[in-house]
Amino acid sequence: MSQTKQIEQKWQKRWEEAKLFEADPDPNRQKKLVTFPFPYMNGPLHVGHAFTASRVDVYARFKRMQGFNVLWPWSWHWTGQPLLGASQRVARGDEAYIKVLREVDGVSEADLQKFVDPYYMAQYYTNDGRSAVKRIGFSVDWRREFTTVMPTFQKFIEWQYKNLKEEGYVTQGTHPVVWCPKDQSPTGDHDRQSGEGITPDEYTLIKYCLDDGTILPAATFRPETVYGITNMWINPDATYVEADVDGETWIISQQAAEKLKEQEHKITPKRTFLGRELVGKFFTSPITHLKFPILPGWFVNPQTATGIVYSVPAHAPYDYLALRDLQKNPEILTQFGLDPKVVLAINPISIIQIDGFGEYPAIEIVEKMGITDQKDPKADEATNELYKKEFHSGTLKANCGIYAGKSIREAKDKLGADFKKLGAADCMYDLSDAVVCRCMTPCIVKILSDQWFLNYSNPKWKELAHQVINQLTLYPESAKPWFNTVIDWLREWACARTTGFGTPLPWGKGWVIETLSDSTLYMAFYTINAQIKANNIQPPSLTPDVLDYIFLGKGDKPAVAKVANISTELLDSMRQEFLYWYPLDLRNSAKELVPNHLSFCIFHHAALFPPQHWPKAIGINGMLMVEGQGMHKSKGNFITLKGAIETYGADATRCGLLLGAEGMDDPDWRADNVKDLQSKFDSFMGFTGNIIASTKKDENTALERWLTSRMQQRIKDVTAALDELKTRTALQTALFETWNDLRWYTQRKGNTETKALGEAVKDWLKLIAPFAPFLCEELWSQTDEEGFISTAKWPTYSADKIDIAALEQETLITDVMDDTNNILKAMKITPTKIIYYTAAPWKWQIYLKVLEKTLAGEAKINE
Amino acid sequence: MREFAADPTLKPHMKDIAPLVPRIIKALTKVSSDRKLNLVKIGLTDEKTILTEVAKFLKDRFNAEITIYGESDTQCFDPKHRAAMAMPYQSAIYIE
Repeated sequence: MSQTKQIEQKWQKRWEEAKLFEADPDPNRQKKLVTFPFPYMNGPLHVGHAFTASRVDVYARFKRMQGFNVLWPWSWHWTGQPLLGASQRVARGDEAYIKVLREVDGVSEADLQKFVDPYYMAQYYTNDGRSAVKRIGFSVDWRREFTTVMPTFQKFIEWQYKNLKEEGYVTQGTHPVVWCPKDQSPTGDHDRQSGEGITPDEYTLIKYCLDDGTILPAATFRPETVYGITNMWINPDATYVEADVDGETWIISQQAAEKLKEQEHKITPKRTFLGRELVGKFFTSPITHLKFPILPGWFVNPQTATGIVYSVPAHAPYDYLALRDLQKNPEILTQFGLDPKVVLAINPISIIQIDGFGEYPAIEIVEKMGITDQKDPKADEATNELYKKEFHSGTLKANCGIYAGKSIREAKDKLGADFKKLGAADCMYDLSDAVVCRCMTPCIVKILSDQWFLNYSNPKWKELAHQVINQLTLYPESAKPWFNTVIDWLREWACARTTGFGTPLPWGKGWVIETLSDSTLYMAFYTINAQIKANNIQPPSLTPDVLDYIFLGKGDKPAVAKVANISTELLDSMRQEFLYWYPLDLRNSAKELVPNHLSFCIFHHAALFPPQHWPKAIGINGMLMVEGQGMHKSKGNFITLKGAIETYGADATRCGLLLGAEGMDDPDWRADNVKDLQSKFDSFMGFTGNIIASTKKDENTALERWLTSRMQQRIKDVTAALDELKTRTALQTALFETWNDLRWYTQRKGNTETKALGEAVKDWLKLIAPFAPFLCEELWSQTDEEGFISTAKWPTYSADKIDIAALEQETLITDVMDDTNNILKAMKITPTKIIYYTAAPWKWQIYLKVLEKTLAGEAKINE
Repeated sequence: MREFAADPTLKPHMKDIAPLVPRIIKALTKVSSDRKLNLVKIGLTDEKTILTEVAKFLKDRFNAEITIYGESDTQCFDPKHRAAMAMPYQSAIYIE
């Protein structure tokens, strides 16, 4: 066994024996409750988890050393489809997936057989994960651990949902959801194999009419452009359906017919045909009653909405490009029996006025960006840019009927609603990109009626959520506008599904609360779970009244205790423990969880807890890349946490991750860098061990005073960086910059035998301990100090210990050396003799005078 | 300049002061105001003693014989007339 591994095992064991990270309420100490979103147990923990969680652990260890009573709990998320989907893939004999489990996760054949049982699989990964979390050195209080299928936890979720419903935040309604046809269930972000973050887009369908009354429902996000139509686009090679839709005859793409069935339409298909059959026909606008031709448009995707698109070449770059392509090659039209004159006669119709553009913005932008044709990828960019500009600053022109003069922003929704009222429009929902369920079935949009939703549209709730954001600290602070945008943007969220693990909705048979909805308030459950377990409190005792008392202080204590069959002392003790640990002092997660998990956490705290129990700080970090690429099992670059510890050791893994990035930047895991760090830690052990073993002479020259002063500056910088969760800056300063100082001192001194150096090294170890706890613990045990470094007192900055003259004196020496080196470099010689001439006293007199003047702002260069 | 002219101890150096002042101002533009405050507090620094004390260290670093003079030392070996270039916190250097 390697020395690193021996050290890691030794300290992991000692910490456990000493119950070092078990935190109980202590009224004499200030507390910190820090958390990391519990990970899904459908696979092993990986270095991405470790990056995010290492930031929490570093903060926890830092605050613990500062004297805070720190609680850092950990649990496991079993809820929802991910786990069930994974187990089903094994049961189905999905070879590619099983290969990954064998080769990446390292699952044995015997265990693989048992993975057809999702509980077994979840327990396997939970055990595997717990071992990895311990080995990486996270300072967790394991007494509070749970999985989300445990009955006591589910009592908490039931209580949470009962109260949310009573407050009116869970509502029953009819809303579009992303739906898995196989599971017959809404599919939330984390129940998806791909397509996370995609929500149903609402299209307006303008009901254009053929002469025989057949309706061509053309889909658009911009109903206001109805006044600028010049023609229709149909994909001549796509299959369309003529169908009876709610008593009318519609023509739509084959895919659209399937989709609309799930959106409260009654559909009976009558015949199918290729789009080319429609090309050359004319149709009438239900708004302007003018006639326009149908033209072939190969860019029209039958998978998107109805597969029918109307053309507004003055304002839509694609329409202009497709029209221009046809006008350039009118011979194409003859194969459809269409007279080229019809197409050549089409002129764009301008309907929107925007600053910075003339009559035809689409034409201008196409020309400005040099877009060649409808297949040019820049056309997408042009479309988005123009759409945004027109939406935010456009005004409808005189040819837009009663909407003339209105801004697009104010007209858009009204116009869509008016058209619907007139019977001239309908609506349809679709997805902007493919969404695949964890069971591998492609998802669609379904309008669910009588489904249970978390009503994030509720303006009162949004307002409260904004208040939570306003009072909390964000690391980095620049994430605040993002959170506020998400709070405004979130709509009704389907909070239950029919498959997967989880807590049944207390009042809805067959519905289980989905993954992102049972992970919003559970940090509060950590505060009492140690007592639940220690006192063997059974689920039936955790009634809503009991939990109301513990978390909200509601109800009459003796009565509540009696009904729940627990002692008033225990009930009170749990209440006190919640009050001690709450609010949450830090929750840290990767930025991908801002639009769902973290925002939900804010909403739910706002809904159920008073302001004094709202989260105080949220940290966000980037997504870990591996060798410059997104980490994915299928890419073969997936690194398990266990594997990284085995290869590089826990401390190098932690530090390798943390040196990658801070703020919202994405860190990049590079094996070479981590290897390099591993060997740096070897030299660190040698360098530090040697100093610790040296005799300690009491010397106090300027050099010792320099070292002491320098350490004070490092202490100040590392402390400030950690207080803002700038883990990269803190580690760089703590490890490398401080190392340079100590190296300089030993070189200048010529030995390692001073008390000042011994003290500096102890402070240095403390600064590094939150990052590399195992090595620091080992080295600390070699000093004359007692106890664990994990609970040693964090060094505090003291301005009194700074000797500015000693600092300047050392700067003077390094400056002289730098100057000498520069001259040597320029002269390209090996010196035999160097002479330094120091300034005469009269020059000092002038220097100091000028110095004072510049400070007072009086000296100028032309004086 | 007028202030300096009034000081009798500076009188002999008047012609050297004129070019020195802009050099000092220029050097100080790179110094933060926090550090300037420290430099004021420290005041006159005995650079010659400081460098003399580290002469052995410098000798080992550069593997060369090291000598330190004050600019106005009477027995100053200065074949290239470098000494006059010396400024506070920026000693003049001669290498062979």
